[in-house]
Amino acid sequence: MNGSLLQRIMHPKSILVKKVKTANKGTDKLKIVWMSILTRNPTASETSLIQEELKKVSQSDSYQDIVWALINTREFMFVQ
Amino acid sequence: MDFKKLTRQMDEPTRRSFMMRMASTFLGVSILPQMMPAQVQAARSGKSSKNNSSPVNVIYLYMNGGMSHIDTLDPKPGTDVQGPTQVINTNVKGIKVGEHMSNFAKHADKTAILRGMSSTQGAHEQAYYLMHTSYAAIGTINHPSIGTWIMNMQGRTNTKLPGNIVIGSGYKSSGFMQPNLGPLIIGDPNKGLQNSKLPRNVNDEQFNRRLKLASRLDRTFSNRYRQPQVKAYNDMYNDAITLMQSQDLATFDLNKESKNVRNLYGNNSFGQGCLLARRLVQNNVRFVEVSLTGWDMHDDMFTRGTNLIPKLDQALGALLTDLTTLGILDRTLVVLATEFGRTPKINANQGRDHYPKAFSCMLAGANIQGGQVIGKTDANAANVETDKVTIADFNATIATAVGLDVQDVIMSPSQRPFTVANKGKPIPGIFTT
Repeated sequence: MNGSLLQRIMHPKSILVKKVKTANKGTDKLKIVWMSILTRNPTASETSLIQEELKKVSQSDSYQDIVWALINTREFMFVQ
Repeated sequence: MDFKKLTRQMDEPTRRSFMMRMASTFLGVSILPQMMPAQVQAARSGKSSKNNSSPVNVIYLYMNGGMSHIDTLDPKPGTDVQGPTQVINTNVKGIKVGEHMSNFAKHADKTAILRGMSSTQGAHEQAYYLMHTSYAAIGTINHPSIGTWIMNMQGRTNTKLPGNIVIGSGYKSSGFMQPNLGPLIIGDPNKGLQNSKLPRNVNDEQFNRRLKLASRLDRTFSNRYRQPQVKAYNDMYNDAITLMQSQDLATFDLNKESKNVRNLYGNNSFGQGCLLARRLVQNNVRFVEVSLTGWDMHDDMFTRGTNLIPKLDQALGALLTDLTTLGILDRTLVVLATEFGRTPKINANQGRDHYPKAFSCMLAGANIQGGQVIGKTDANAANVETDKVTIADFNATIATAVGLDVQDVIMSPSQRPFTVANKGKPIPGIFTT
């Protein structure tokens, strides 16, 4: 929750960040994040939820938030 | 940072076990299991919490490896078995202890020394298990320790802090009971609770935004899978967040103590662990175990004892002084326990070997009548002559001091009945009347 792993995942040179950067469209970026963490595509409601969120804060911050939030979901913890 | 290596490692274990490890590294916890409101626990145990305004909390000092009774609490001056360890008087007439127990000797009036302890296990692992759980280690079930029993039968008093804590090494399993009743493990007393603060570049606002986002993303999943494990993790998260934002977090910070106090306990992990234990029970944590290892002195016992026994003595003396000064000794039970004693006969390597047949433990505080010795060994400290105390009896005494009913049966998930001290009986005459 508070550890250093997230910093590593969000490091500019991490695989995830590099991949997200190469994607052009916002929805593609989301797909990459979802695939990396939950190994599935985001649902429609999730996509709209995130797009709402992205309007509120700066891009780089919000992606960190999204990754954090996904890793801290029960789905990430319990689905194998 | 070798990120590739990290991701590769992440592929191997299941995601859940990875997450567990993450929780233990980042939150410093194996975790927060036991953080469930006291009321809920009281309800589960089928009892209303007795609303006792000041329940008894326990500081459980465990001497890992087998503490020599002759060199500490049951000396035999003038006999061959005594060896080079000198004998000193305590502040209670007629009670003598080993020379390295000089701080403890000033507090004998507050303590009940048990010289009639007797165990049935002579190997470390089995004896350690028996001492902590009152049950013999068997393959088919894992038993909880007394801290977990307290959490199950009474629950927390301070709902912001975990109620059952192990500092350094100790009995870490919650046995057949729910993992959230088991101990929270603090690795190093000097470092306190790890990863309980937000990373430097994240502020409260951002943290709250993240939490909200996570819970919204989670809604579908949580609704679909209403399982106890998912629920338990939700509770754990909520409790962790409560603790992170709570003033009580400072309880874990030894820097809040003055240099003098810290020195009083001794500058070693056991001493500082005892100080942390005092801070925790002061804030109504129910059970704290602190261990001192190094007692398995098969050779060179007298040099090693000269180094080790004073560590125990200094911390124990400081603890008893401190609890008295703070006025909380009457609601704190201090336990000094070990798995067995050591042979009266000194071996060829100037050591003593395992000796479960007769050894010593100590209880102080709460409603324990101080200034007394219960039990007596023969001239060579080899056999218990009077008032023999079994491990179950010893634990029944601890349980009774805390207010647990030793007759109460709790069923394991496999529907087998267990009691807190495995049918042991509290030691007669140990409590104040």
